[in-house]
Amino acid sequence: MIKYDLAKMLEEIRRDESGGKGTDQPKKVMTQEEIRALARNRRRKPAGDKPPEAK
Amino acid sequence: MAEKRKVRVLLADDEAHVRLFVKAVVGSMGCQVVAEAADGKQALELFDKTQPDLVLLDINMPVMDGITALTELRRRSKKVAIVMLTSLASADVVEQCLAAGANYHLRKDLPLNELKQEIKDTWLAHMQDLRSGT
Repeated sequence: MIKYDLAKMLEEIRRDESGGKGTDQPKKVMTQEEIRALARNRRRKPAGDKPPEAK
Repeated sequence: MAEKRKVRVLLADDEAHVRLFVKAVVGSMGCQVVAEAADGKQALELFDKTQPDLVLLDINMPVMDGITALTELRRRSKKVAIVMLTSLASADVVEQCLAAGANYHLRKDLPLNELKQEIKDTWLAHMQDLRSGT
């Protein structure tokens, strides 16, 4: 009879899904203040802006 | 003299109680909810029909998620203001939404007065951007 270590399998799947980097790093959750600051920053510097090309 | 027109809002969230709450919030601000959608696909259909000024868009929805709907909405209109709604503001998702053209990102757990102020500020900033042509 084959015994499966489900916890270990799950951990391997998670590792694979994250590109082999592991999943122990918690995702950063932003506060509304942080979101506001980020949005303001983006407004000042629109996403479409590209740095001038070097000649 | 031109009559002041109400800001027309499309509200998309798969949870009926959230729609009810947000509808009451924006209604109390003098806005008019012109359509309600329960998923992203429905939001796109209703957007075409109603041409709202502001879209309040949940991220996690069935059929079509909010980020996919956001991308499509932004492709259809540069003028509409789009505010994403989320329960958990994961940094990568927030950045993804802003990069995809969302004007702002709102946490649903904000106190009522802050929620109103954030929507108002976002709308005013959007109007300013439209006037200045950015």
